[in-house]
Amino acid sequence: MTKYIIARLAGIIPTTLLLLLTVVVLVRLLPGSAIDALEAQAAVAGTSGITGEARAALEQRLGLDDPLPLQYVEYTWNAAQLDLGQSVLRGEPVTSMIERTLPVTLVLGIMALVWATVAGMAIGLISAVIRGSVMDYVLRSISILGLSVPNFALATLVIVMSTIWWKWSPPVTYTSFDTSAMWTYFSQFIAPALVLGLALSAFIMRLTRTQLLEVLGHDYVRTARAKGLPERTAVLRHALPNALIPVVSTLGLEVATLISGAVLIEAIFGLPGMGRMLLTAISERDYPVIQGIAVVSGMFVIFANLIVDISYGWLNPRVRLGA
Amino acid sequence: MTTAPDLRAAGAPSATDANALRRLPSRLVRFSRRQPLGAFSGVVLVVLVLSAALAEVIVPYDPIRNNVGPSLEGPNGTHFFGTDHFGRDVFSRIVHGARTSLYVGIGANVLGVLSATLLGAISGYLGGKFDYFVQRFVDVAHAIPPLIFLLGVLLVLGPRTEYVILALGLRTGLSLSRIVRGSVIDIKGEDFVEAARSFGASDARILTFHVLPNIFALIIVLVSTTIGGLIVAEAALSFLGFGVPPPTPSWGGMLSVDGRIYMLAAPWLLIAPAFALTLVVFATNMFGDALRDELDPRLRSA
Repeated sequence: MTKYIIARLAGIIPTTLLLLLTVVVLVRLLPGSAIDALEAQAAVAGTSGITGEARAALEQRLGLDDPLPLQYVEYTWNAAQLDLGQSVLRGEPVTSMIERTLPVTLVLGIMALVWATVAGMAIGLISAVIRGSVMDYVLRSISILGLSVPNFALATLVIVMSTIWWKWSPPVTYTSFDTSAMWTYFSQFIAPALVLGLALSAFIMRLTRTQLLEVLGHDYVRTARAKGLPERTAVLRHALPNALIPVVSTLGLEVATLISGAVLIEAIFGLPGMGRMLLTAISERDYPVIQGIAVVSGMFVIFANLIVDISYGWLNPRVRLGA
Repeated sequence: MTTAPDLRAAGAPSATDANALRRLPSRLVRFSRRQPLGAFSGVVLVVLVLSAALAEVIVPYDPIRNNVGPSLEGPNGTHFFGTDHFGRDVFSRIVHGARTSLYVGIGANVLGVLSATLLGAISGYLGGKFDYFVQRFVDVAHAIPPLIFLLGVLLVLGPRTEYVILALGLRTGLSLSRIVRGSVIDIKGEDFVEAARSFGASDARILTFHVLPNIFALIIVLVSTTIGGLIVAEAALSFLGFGVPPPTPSWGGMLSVDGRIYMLAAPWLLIAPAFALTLVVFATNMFGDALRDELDPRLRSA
């Protein structure tokens, strides 16, 4: 098992290096550098543009005049020391901008993940136990609907319709975390997290149901029943843990989908998270910020998959002992 | 390699084709009995394709012309789905939006599945160092969340419908190539591949005539199961203002944040595109699932 973990950990290194390479090359390919964006801003403000020496100095500060391999090595070396450069427009270090916005995205993502997993697994379990009944059919239909509604359409629908029907709209101003106002803080995440997690919970529900139905047909479950164990024990103790292995292993893949969804949901509900910062950075062509967010979210996905792989090995003796 | 089979495929239907055609109605009936939801979805998709193809004939108004009626008028006999804040006819925009959705969805689908087949088949078949390097790149493409990847690529390319197709196709190709690769690695170990090689068949010949026919069902399944996601992705990008540039009607664009203040007074602006998107995604997913169950039951849990 230790050997397996070490092998998986080592596998992260080339992926991370390639992630950084992709991000550096992508920005190099971009038409119109951040300096052009600054210039456009200066033009709007009515001040003189950035020309000649000032431009060269700026290019040097941003490292845009270095050859690509050097830029890459420098970016990687700095990233290893948690320095992702500076925002071109604000002059603020990208790391501190991410530090400020990441918790919002994390709270939203974790709340969505938790409700989706708990509800998805529970409803999947119920649906499998009462398979073929009317209720099973209703639950499955709802889950198919949940999978089909695009989250940004649902989020817009929730905001607009709740305003029209109940004169309720999500808070316009964001309340930062404060131990004296826990409810105000967490309540602003409820609607966004519900919308963000809906498709995932429907997906988990369907997967749990299919897996459980398959496992229930296996010999060891029949044996458990045959030796007189109550149905509850046969299902919950013998079948469920095995049925959940593939469900857990897909959760890692879903982290990338959740981060994508968070970009949309944060924009719609006005939550000042990393996703909304990304959209602002894109419209301002603030490349170091875009790079930083791509790297950080990429690392999140890589680590989520690592954790899933390791827990998969831990849950499944065939993987654990084979490695 | 002879050209004879190609000529026959392109020419007049042979005797077996005519037989297949005669049996088509009864096969359709059997399909809809086994897969009622799949059949319903098939009908929805036929309507979608027809409205995309015949948009000009169906709609009463030019979808991008302003002031064809009073602005923000509710649904009525002349404007079935009402009008938006520019006085454009929402029904006409929804029907034309089907064309945008299908154009981007199918375009990206074809591009994605073709590149996935090419990349996955070659990477899986050759194996070794080449495979290792390709797979690390695929890993990276998987690590960057899809929306961030797409926004990044579109930032490089610029705002154009064709670039949206290119970005989506690229992303899909990289994701699906893993599945194709896995399947090719399985087939590579089969006896008939070994036999072909012992006859002196070249790698290209083995790939084309022995490996590809065996992953054909998988490719059809990939085509049918990814198109719904692609339509949503296009809508999401247009929703954020980075997809299909206005005034081209796109369901995602119609839902966008800019229009939200009008939705409070005119909820039909929201309901029509949201319903259209949900229905089409539902239909593509259900039809894809039904087709998968029919073609290759082994993939059912995939």
